[in-house]
Amino acid sequence: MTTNGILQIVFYLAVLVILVKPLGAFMARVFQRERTFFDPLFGPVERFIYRLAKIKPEEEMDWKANAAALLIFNFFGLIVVYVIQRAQQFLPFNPQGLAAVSPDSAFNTAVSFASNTNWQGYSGETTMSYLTQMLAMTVQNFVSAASGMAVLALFIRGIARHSAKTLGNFWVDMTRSTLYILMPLSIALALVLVSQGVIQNFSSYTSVPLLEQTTDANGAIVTEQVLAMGPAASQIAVKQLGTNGGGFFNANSAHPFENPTPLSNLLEMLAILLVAAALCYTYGAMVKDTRQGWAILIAMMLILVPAILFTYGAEISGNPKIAAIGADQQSSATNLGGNMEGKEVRFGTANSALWAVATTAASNGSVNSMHDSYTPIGGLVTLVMMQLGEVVFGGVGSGLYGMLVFVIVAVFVAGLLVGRTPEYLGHKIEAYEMKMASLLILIMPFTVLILTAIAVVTTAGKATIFNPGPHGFSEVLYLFTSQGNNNGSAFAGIGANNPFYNLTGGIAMLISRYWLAVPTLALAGSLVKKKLVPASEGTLPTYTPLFIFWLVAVVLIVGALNFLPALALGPIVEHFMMMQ
Amino acid sequence: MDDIIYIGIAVLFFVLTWGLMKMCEVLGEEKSGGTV
Repeated sequence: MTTNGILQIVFYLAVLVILVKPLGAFMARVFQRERTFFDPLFGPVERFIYRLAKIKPEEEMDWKANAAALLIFNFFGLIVVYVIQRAQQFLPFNPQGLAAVSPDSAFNTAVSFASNTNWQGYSGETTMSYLTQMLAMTVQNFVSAASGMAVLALFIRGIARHSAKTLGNFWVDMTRSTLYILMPLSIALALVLVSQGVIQNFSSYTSVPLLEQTTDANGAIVTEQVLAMGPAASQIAVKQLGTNGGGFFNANSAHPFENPTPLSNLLEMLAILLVAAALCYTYGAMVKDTRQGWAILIAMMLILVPAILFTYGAEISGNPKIAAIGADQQSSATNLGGNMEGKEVRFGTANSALWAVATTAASNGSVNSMHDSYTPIGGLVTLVMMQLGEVVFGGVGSGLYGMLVFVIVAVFVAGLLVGRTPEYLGHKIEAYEMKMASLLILIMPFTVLILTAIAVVTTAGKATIFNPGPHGFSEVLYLFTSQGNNNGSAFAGIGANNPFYNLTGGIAMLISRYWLAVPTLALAGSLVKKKLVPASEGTLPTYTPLFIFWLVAVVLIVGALNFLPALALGPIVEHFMMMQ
Repeated sequence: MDDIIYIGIAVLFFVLTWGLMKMCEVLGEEKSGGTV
């Protein structure tokens, strides 16, 4: 590892941690419906939305009504995205005259954007019209992220309240998340990105002469290149802040029109983890004990930082097979060093590894390098970050409520070990809570592993696996891990835009989003009814270093038990093959 | 035809999710003897 690389990673993490408290405190005010400095601007808009949708903001709902609201809203969002894609050839803002998206791809993409996964089996610039990008993708980038944040706000109230019946109002939390948090942050980031060169226009695609002529696959001389245009900046900002990740262009944030400069790279990387990290502080503020929020953030960092260093170390060490054919992988004044296959020279090994770990930790899924070209160990880390259940930061809202489920499991197991009644923040943890927690922990690996197994034994699944052996298996495992955890990043190298993978992937995304959100809200509905159990000497403190390490251990052990055998068949065996 | 199939799959999934919600509700009622 180089000093330069380490300094960049340290700087990134330092800026991230500095921003946690101010943003986290602000978001707590938003969720608690306290006055913010955006009230004069967005207050009238908020009230107008409530009047238009006949929402009674003061009316709170129980967990079932909130879950129903989530399902109904997301179902109609999914249908709207599907219909827009299928009808885009008849709609305006389609200067390239792009045809309707195929039914299977439209289904996969509609599920993907409604569920905050943003997996893309398609190539944006050759498939989606500007209207589809704006009205379908960008709108879902906001509301799918806000849906996750709303579920988190409801879950936190379930923990913060005692002897109550209601958790809050999904419609209010979603509206306020969009208006007061995602919208201002996205506008600010989009403007900065435009200043850096991210494009924002409605122009037709432009042809420019090449500096040096080349030949195509058929040997014909090529002298021009087509540059795709479009309203990219407005989508890129929220794609990062809302842990969406769906790129405007196929190359995602490796494309110079999405991510043109070192500053845009830093800001986009910060945006990946910013809201998810700050929500930890929001949690502490809402349960009136900020130590709880910091403890969870530290636990997340204890997994994230080693993962970054592990990946960076693997990538900067290079690939011995490539070194053997004469490539220079040593860092020097003129050579970035390491395994540069699939990485932008503009970003180098450190910023690529940092992004790869951040995006897989955060359920974001945007990429500035191609994960398929990482060393087996580098690829392994990205897989593991997702397979931990997207609880190390995870999606905005969904990551933290996933981690809070692990907190409840950790408290329960610790209680069993010392023979005390497990309790968390004044709530007794009983059989029902553990049933819901078990569902939440088991549904994801069950989905991912079953679908991976189906893909590698069926003709339809095997037909588009182009790499034989363990790397091909890693690609299939990554595909379902990514979609089955609502991440959306792609290992690539596999033909995923076909009816088999679009359908199975769509099912994985639906299950991992909604079959986890419903038990989460049920768990919150159970907790909120419980009487307050005053803390005593027998209460396990959940903010101490001991508990933080215990929580990290529980997350890692559960992840390892679920996925180690599958990883052994993919990246682990590939690593040993590379070292032969 | 394909459109109906894919929208039908989405509808079926959300109906199943509704069933999951009901299952969670019933499990909660069992916990407290039906007096939630």
